[in-house]
Formats: sequence, structure tokens, C-alpha cells
Amino acid sequence: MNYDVVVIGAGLSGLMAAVAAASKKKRVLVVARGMGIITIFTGSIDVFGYWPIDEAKPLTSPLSGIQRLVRKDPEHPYTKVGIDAIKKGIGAFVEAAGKGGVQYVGDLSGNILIPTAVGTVKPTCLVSSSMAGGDMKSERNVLICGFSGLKDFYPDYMAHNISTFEMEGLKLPRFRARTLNVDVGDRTSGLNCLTLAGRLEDQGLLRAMTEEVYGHLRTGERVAFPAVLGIRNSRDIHKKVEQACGVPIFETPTLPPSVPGYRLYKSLEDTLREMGVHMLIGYDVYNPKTFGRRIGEISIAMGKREKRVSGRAFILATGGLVGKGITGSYDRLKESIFDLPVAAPKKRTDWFRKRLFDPAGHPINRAGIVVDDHLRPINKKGEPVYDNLLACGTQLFGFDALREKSGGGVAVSSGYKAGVEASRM
Amino acid sequence: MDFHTEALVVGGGATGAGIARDLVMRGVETIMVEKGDLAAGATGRCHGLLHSGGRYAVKDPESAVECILENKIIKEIAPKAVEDTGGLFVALPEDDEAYMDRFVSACFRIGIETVNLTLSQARRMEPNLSEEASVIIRVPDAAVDPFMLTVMNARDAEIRGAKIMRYCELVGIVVERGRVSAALVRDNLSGETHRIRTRYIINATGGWAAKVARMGGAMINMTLSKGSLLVFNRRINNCVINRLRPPGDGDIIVPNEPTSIIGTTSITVKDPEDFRVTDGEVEMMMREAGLMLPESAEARVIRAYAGIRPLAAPETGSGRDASRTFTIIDHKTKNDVAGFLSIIGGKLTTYRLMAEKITDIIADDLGISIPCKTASTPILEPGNERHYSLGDRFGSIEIVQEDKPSRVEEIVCECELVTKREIVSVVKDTGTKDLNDIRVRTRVGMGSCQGGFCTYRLLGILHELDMVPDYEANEILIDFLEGRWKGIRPILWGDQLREEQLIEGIYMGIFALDKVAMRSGAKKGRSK
Repeated sequence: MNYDVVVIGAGLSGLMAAVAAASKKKRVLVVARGMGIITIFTGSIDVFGYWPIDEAKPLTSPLSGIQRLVRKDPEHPYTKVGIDAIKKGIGAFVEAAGKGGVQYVGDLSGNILIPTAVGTVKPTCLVSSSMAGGDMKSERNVLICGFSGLKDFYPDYMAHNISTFEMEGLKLPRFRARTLNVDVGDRTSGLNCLTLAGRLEDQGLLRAMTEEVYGHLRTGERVAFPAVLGIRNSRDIHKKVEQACGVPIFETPTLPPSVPGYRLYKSLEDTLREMGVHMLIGYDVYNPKTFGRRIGEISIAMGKREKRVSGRAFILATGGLVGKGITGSYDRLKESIFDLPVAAPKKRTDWFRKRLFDPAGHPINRAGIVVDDHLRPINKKGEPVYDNLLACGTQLFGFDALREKSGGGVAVSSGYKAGVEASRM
Repeated sequence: MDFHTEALVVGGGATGAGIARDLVMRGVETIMVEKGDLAAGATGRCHGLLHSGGRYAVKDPESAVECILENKIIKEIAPKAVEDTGGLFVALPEDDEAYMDRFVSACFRIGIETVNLTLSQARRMEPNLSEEASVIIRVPDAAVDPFMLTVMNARDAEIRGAKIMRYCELVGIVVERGRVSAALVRDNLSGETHRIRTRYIINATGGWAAKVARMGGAMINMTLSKGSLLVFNRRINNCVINRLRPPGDGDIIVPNEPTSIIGTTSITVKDPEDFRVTDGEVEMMMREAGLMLPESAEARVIRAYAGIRPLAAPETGSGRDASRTFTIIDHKTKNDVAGFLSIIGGKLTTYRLMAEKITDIIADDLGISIPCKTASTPILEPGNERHYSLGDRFGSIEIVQEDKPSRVEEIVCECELVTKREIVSVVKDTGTKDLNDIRVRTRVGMGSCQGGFCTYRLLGILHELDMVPDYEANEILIDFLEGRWKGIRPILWGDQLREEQLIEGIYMGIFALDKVAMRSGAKKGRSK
């Protein structure tokens, strides 16, 4: 099998790399072990929430935050990607997800403040239309509806905590909670969000749920749900419930598995197939064959059926520690496929700070692969390890996705840029 | 508020709870106070090993005799808290052969039953045992749940009339005319101070014993010895595995419910709350575990923790040389304070004997002739109840479902198969809002993810039951995660590192608790 661009990894950065390369009319393969961490996180795209990372007040505009950042921090992935590619990448993302059926709302000039399942408020940049109604800048009061039997969402918890939540310059509306008693079916071993979302595609159940919600509503309220309103038909379901209740409704992210994350994956996958990209999911990738500073081939296998894949350019988008692109042995971090150098504190005891919630973040969260301005992994001398290998996403060195709230933006923009760079090779 | 009693037991570990039970069984009016939750000190931070005495047979025969007698008694009176796994003493080629002969003859003299096993016999019981094992001897070691044992004793004492006051900390002792007359106790939840008039104060506070003694104007000479342990994510051994050599570091692996625990170390410390586990200790224990059970290198370590042994020994040499038997100090003879007794040393295995001996002194002083019956009276339940296993739990959950399909049991903690119904019933029965209370009573959050997922659910359920004050829940969650972090930070590599990154992703990334933590940290002045 021979391709122009081979993308390894099917998380957000890998899929965006494929989108960028395919839109340049390249023959693209995406090969991955699984869906990556896209189904763990919220499905909204955090671009830049806090900077510097120990700042308590969220950035009003991700873009102006990034503009300040790139002048100060040469190591940060955003600096390597560049403002222009960030803007284009975000645009390409909204378009690709939209084509696949998930509409994203928001832009780089402003953060949206959305409530979380524990009653905090989080800045994020792009949210799917199903979450847009949760913007906390709106003063409309909120009725939070949970489901009896759903083990990963507790409306009382959310309502009680958000009533004491403080954020500078933000006046929150009033929240109250109801647990719906509608019979959502078998609860063996407890119901998670993905299972419930599948069940809510049933018209009868959806109607019963909507009627119960309507009964609890007071004038002037909007309704918050956990993110469970359908999987494939979520747009229809959202519209139906909103019309029946006559008020805005919105979804709130909670513990994984993440339904909005899954919908996003499916939408990008649909778009890529439409664009003619080959997708091979469930494959291990190993044994790269190199010629000097070029990668010629890789082996891929599902079970025992091994194939060789050659390409002009390769994009590594295998993720960080959670995605298994980087693995940690007792005292060393290792990149899984090409054994690329991983920049991290030398001693294991220096990976973490004493307190989990240390506002400075843990050094290991910034660990990763160091790249040049073309996103090619480089060695200690600053030379590219391979001329036709690019890296993108969570595995990049030099940022703290969790504390900056920048994971989605780095994945989207670095993936997009890697795809564009690969198309030129 | 003022209380009045005959005996005040200070300390809610296994020893304190055992003493409270023995005292009420002999008709002594009793109050027990504990500054935190039950079993929060050395009891809840020990190895969970019901010693056969084999470990002490050669060097510390007095302690070994106590162990084997109590081993048999605890198996009879608290079967629910004991898993009778049996134990092996295993010698590797580098170990001293002369010690093995001394071990067997010492066990014989003391009355510890031993059986020599061949490697193939042993590996049938213990498939992960190293092929290098040269000598293998079976002994009647067992695993014991220290939380359950303590909770059972305290509950039994309560049913028999004792008053158990948790979260009540001793802050002062009143001595009048050379005799204790009252204690001042602060309720750590409400902040209120109580005065408890009492004839006796029994200091069973382990590592804190010297501090408590000073409150009554008495002195105790003791050494604090830290013992660190590592918890594996799965059960890599069926029985207790001991290294057949003079007691040293990292040479016992105890199966504990679905996990295995390796320990210990012995490092003299000054502070009874110095629970830090160092990188050196982690490395040493991983190496030692690998020698006896090579499989341990493949298992994930999910937590590191340490407990403080209150040893009755002068501060010379290492804690390993100190006898593991116990000492009772009557401060009347030593410090001219009558009615004030302290108990230090000993082991979880011998807690009942310790309770018997100190209760004997008080009973004698009060002219009570009722003999101690704790060796033959089952705790709480008649002795037919069996220790539970995860497999059994799964079975019982399924049966409930078949009977009443409409009232299915929701599993809240997947690692330990704890259901929502169990949590609700603990909350309703005890009226507790404390995560740790629920944890020790149900094992919720004690498995592979160490509460990473289920703690949020637990707090959610407490809210459903209206049991959490509005303003505290996320601070409780943050404090819990910080506490959990202390046990996890030393062992983050491999898959456990990956899981921890996922959990950090949930609380920082999805729930954005990091900024709340900054604010509450600043409020409490703990930001640095």
C-alpha cells in the first residue's frame, strides 16, 4: 500500500492532519489503534483558557492570549504552529465537523464559559451546538435535570456547588436540580452516558422524558442535561426537546465515556471518508523502515495479518501518556513507534510536584516531543530526526493542556499544520 | 457538654476498640474517644497480616508465642474479618541455610505448625512463586482486614453499652490529688469542648502515646518506626509470602481482597504523622517483591502508604531489633499519677491480648472478678459468617437482580464492586458524611483507580441524600484528591502513570477543579 501521507493516530490531531492533507488532494491513510482520547474529553475545543497557567482569571479572548504567548514562549506548540495556521486550522475544524453533522459555535476572539458537572465554570472556545445554550454569560436561570440510574451525573451536586462558585466579573444565574424518574431501562452495573444516549434515541422514551422535564419547568428557565441526548440523531433530538419544552436546552460534560467526544469522532470520520481518506482502525503500528533521514515504510497489523505501508510523508499523532503515544517505564519516557527523543525531567521524582493541585502544573505534563517550526521532531542538536516525519497533538513538548485549557486547540491547529506541511513533501 | 464514666479509652485503633469491648464485657462503664475516624492511625496503615508468629520465632520467641495463640483466637472470634489464606516462608538460594534449621526448630518449640513443601507442591498453591525458591515452609499465617476488625470491635462495644465518640480529640487531662479525674475532649467537627469525668484514662494512641502521656504529666520512652508498603492492583499471590531469613525490609507480601501488599520498611522517625514514602523505599520493595514473585514486575502498583509503629524501645539500633511484644505502663508507679495507663508496642495480631491484659489491671483495681471472655466470644456475629471475596459479591449482586428486576443494584465502584445500596445504607445507618467512613466500611475507592472515578459518584450520592453542606463538596473532593495523591505520587510509572494522567485529565480538564483549588488554597492559607 502506498500513500502520499500516512497519519498514525485517529485522535483529534490525527483526524485534522488527514483533513488538511486530503483537502490538498493527497492520497491519505489514517491508521490507528483506536479513537484516541477524543472520547474521554468533553467534545468542546479548549483553545486557550488561562495564561500564564497560574492565573486565576480566564482569558477573555484565546486569540489575544496566544498573540501574547508567542512573543514570550518560543517552546510552546502554538509558537511553532504560528497564528496563521491556528486561525486556518480552527476554520478547517469547524467546517469538517459541520460537514459530518456536528455544528460548532464560537470563534477565536472570545471564550465561552460553560458549567461543568461538578458545578465549576470552565472557559472553552468552541462548543457543539448542543452545549451552546449553557453559556454562563446569559442570565437565564437553569433547571438541571439528571436521570435516576445514571451513575456519572448528579444534578444536586452540580446545583449546590455552582451556587458558591466564584469567578471574577461573572454573575451566575440561579440553578436548581431535579432527578428525572423516567424509566430508562436496565441498570445492570450502572448506566453510563454512552449507553443512556443510545437509549434516548428511542422516540417513546424521549417523549416520556420530555414530558417529565416540562412538568418541572418554571418561567424564564433553561434546561441543563448531562451530555446524553442521542448519538447519531443528536441534532434532531436536541431540536425536538427544545421545541417541546419551549426553552433553550443544553448538555453538560461529565465523566467519560464522553458522548459529545464520540459524536465529534464520528463526524470527522464521516467527513474524511467522504473526502476519500482510507481509515484503518484497530491496527498496531510498528517496525518503521528508514533510509538515512527518511522513513520509507511502516508495518501495520490487526491480529496476525501484517501489511507494509509506504508513504512520502508520515505524521505521528499517537497522543501523550493517556493515548499511549508516549509510555513511561520506571524512570524514562519513551515514544512508542520511532523511539524519538522525549523531553522530560530526568529523575522520576521530578515528574510531579508535591501537591496535585499545584497551580504551576506538573513538569511531566509539559513533557513531549520537541519539534521545529515545520513540526518535524528534532534531536538535541536541533536537527530533524527524519526529514519526512511530523508530529502533532498532545505529544508535543512545552505546554500544559490541562491547566492552560489548550489541549483541543493545540491538537486541531498542530494537526492541521502537520497535514499542510506533509502535503508539501 | 459534660459526660461521666468509669473508664475513658483514648484512641480508636484496633487496640482501643478491643479495650473498650473488653471493659464493657466486664461491666466497666466506658467511653472511647478518637480524634479522627476509627482505624485511622497505625491500624489502618498496617499490612493486614494475621501473623502465625513464624516471623518472630527465632529472634523474638515471646512475641511469636503471643502471635500463634492470638492467630487461632482471631480466626474463631472474627471470621468475617479474616481470610484464612495460609502462609509460606520461602528461602532463595542466597539465603542462609543455618537460619532455616533454626526457624523450623523454633516454630516447633513455640507450637507453630510447619509443613515442608516441594517447589511443585508450592507452585500448585502459588503459581507465581519464583522457580528459584529453594526451601518452602507452610505456616498458618492469614490476611485480616484491620478496618473491619476495628469497626466490628467498636460496634460490639457500643451494643454492649460503651459510648464511642469519633472525631473527638483529647486536649487535656485533669489530675487531682495524684489521680486522674477528668479529660477535656474537643469535638473536631463542631469545635465544641466536652468534659468527661472518669476514674481511669487508658492511653491507646499508638504513635501519639508520648504526647498523650505528657498531658497527664507522665513520660513514656518510645521509638517511632515508619513502615512503608506498596499495593499492587491485583492479587498476585494466594497466600501470605514471607522471605525465610531474619526479619528485614520488603520481605512479606500479603494478599488483600483483590490486591496484594508488599512491605515493609523500618525507619526511625520523630513525627507520628510522617507518612512519606521515599523513592528509595519504593525501589527496594519492588526489587524484593520481584525476587519472590517475578510476576510483580508486570503488576501495577496503585498506592504507596506508611504507618508508624509505636515501639517500646530505647532509641538505639534499628526498629527491627525491638521486640514486637507490648508494654503496659501504669503511670501510678512510674509517675505518681493514679488511674492513668498507657499501652504501646504490640501488633494488630495481638490487639485482643493487649486489651485483655490492660483490662485485667483495671478490673483488679475495681475489684471485679468477672474473667476476660473475649477469647471465646465471637465479635458481633455468631461465628458462622465467612469472609467475603469479590467473586461472592458479584454473585450476590446478580441474585438480587433476578429476584427484583425493578430494583437493580447499581455498581458505583467497579474496582471493588460496591453498590449504591450499600453506600446509602452505610450513610443512613451511621449518619456519616465522611468519605473515609464510607470507604472503610464498604471498600469503595480502594481498588485499582483508588477512588479516581467513584469519589465523584460518592459525593453525588451524598448530595442526593442531602448529606453534604453546600459550600464544602468541591473542597472535600479537592482534599480527598490531595490526600490520595500522597499515596500515589511515589509509584507513578508504567500503566499507573497513564491512569493517573487520565484522572488528572478528568479533574483538571473536564471538571476544571484546579482554579477552585487555587481559590480555596488561598482562603485556607495553604497555597505554598
